[in-house]
Amino acid sequence: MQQYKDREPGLFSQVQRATAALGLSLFVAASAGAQTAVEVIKDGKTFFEIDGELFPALEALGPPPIPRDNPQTVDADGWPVKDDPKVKLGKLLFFEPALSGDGSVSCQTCHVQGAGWALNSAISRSYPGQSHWRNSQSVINAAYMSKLFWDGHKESLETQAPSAAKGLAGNGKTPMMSARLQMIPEYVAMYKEAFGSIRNPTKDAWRAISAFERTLTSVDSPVDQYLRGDEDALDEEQIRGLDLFNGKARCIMCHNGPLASDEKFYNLGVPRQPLFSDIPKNQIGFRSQTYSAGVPEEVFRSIKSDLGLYFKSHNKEDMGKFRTQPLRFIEYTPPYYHNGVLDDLEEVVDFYDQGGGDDYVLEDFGFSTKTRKLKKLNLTDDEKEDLIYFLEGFSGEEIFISIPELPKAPARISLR
Amino acid sequence: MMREKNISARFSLVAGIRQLCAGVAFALPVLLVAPAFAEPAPLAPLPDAEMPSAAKVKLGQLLFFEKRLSGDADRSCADCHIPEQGWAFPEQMSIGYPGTLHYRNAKTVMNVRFAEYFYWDGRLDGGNDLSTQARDSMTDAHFMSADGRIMGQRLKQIPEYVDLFKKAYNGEPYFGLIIKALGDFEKTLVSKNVPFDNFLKGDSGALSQQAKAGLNLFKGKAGCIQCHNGMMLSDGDVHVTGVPVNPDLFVTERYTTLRSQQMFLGTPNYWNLKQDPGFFAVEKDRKYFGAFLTPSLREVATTAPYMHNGMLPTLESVVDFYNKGGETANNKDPRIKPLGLSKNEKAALVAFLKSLSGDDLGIKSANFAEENMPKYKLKQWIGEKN
Repeated sequence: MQQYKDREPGLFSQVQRATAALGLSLFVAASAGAQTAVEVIKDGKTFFEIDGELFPALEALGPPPIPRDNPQTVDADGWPVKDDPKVKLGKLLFFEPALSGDGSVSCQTCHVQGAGWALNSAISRSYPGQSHWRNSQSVINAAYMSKLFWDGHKESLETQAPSAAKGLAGNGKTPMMSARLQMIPEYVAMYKEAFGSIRNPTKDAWRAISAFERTLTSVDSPVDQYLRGDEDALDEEQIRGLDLFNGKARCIMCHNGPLASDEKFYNLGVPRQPLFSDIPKNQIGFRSQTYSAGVPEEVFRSIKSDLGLYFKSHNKEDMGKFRTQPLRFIEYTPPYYHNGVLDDLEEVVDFYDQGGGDDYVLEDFGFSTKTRKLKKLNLTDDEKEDLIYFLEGFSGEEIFISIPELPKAPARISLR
Repeated sequence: MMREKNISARFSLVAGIRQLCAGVAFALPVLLVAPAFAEPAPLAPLPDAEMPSAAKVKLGQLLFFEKRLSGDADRSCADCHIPEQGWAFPEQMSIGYPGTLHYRNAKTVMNVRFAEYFYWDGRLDGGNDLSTQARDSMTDAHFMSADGRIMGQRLKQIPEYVDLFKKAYNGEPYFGLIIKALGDFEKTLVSKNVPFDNFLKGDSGALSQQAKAGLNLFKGKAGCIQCHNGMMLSDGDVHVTGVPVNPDLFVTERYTTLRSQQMFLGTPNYWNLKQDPGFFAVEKDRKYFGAFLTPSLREVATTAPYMHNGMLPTLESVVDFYNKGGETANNKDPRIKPLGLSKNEKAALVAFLKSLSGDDLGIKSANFAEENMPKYKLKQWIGEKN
């Protein structure tokens, strides 16, 4: 095992490294040739050390957590099952455009299977007449996230869904959406089975959709199989890529643990999205959201690129910071970043190789919030290829489900 | 207050004091004779009201036709308040936000600056506050479903509007000024050269003999003036008249809107309403179930069909409805009784009602068709202030 060449190891880390060297390293055993990652075992857990800090190793994913206030049926191993009445209802509601203002937008409008359960466009869709301002994220494995949306302003699927349906995506209003669902006899029956009644049509809709989303998981990628102990699941190039991931390429500093995300917030210096300079309606969508965030006027006047976490915290140190993305299913979800400005994984790896980008916060506000974790990586072309190949191994099979036929309301209602 | 009005109808002293306070001089005799109901306010011509500046009116007028002030950018005020249709909607019940249908008739916005209350259920105070009504209609899910913060940013993307807001209010487009401008425009929607007003001002030739006979019936035998009184020919109060339920209320999209709105208003048993509850939704008192605001009769000839649900297609059918004493209904206003009007008398009443319309204001929808509206323009982005 080689130490990371750009760093000066401290006493602590030297001890740790010695400890690690004594322990059996899966990665060392599996891969021959040039190593960059510094593995450390501490309290029986594996970490990688970069710049004197320890970062939890990647792990295979277990079943998603299920909140106590929205229980659903799981199998013997704890995985949500699909024939739960709540999940069946949630699947229909995921496709149900009644859950929007004009009855034309459903969850799947912006989270399309075949597009990685996201959208292939840089900027997501809004309701007709309006433009969105951020990239649509995949629903796959959203069940594991504790910070939803790019700025992490929602903490559960149950609160993410209404935020999208009632906000910039759907423009829905609760009484109207509720009344629409109540008009559909099939839903009345399904709600009765799943929730006992249809007295809370929208609140329970978000619960049902969340339960459905907890069945949308990608946990059997080659990397997952490898992490579970199948050493043949990754080939030589991918294992070299993993080593770069954990070491020289410094990915593990943020993309770590079971989720491959620390769910913390960083400014990487992601480039500006030219679509905001080029298209009037995008400018409206962008300004609408920054205005609605209720930031001080002098800040609002100067915002030209997304300030991320700042819109939640209103703390200037958080300007331009976004939550670390998980990496599973990533091959299917281009383009990348909050503004979709990078088109493919090659661009992403090049971006990190250069140590991230220029900080637009610095340009617009005169101070930088860019993370110091990013440095020029000096990756060779082969190394970049290995890294991309590894990332692709994180994606697993593409996920498709049957498109359900939605129940309809009768033309006229009849009261008892 | 509407509630006081209904109570005051039973206690003439309160009614008398109230009318005194309102400066109605002849309220005093009311006190002395103590009738069962408050003496109707005298009919009066519309006053010469102060108009907002031309810059404000120009902006507000453009906004009145501006579809981008709705969520989907597909509905303007003028879509339900059509100038060529008496600034109302020509069908029984109006349309709504895309994906919805409304369950009430769209009222005219003519002379709305003088209205005491807004909407058929009278849920909003008028009193010169037109902006609040504009705000409600812009943001309600079934009307325009707009997010005011977004509307401001949409208009900021249109240089013509930026310029108009600067000229009219010395400000930039934002929701508060948008609804202010709409209200300022609506202040100009006042009937002009109304035969009946001219008659009241002393031009006895302004009304035909038939219309004059109708006026006498209106004030006398037909009893219309009991509720349709004062300058607006409305007492600004609510009454149950027993207008039949419109069967199309139960068209799913309309009933969805009914239930949605009544849910929002907290109406008891909104779940299972078999008719429009009207003012009951506001007051939550059973005696107001199916009570609706007395509409102004100004411009009435141009705003068919009639009643809160458009169930009466013509003025003749309205007169027939009242002539037979309305329909059976709980808590029906006791003043609505069979009138025994002859055919000629009914025709005279209609002739009088037709004298309440003024000249066309000359505002044409076609001038504000989408192709004539100012367009979104790209703004310099980096380096420019938002």
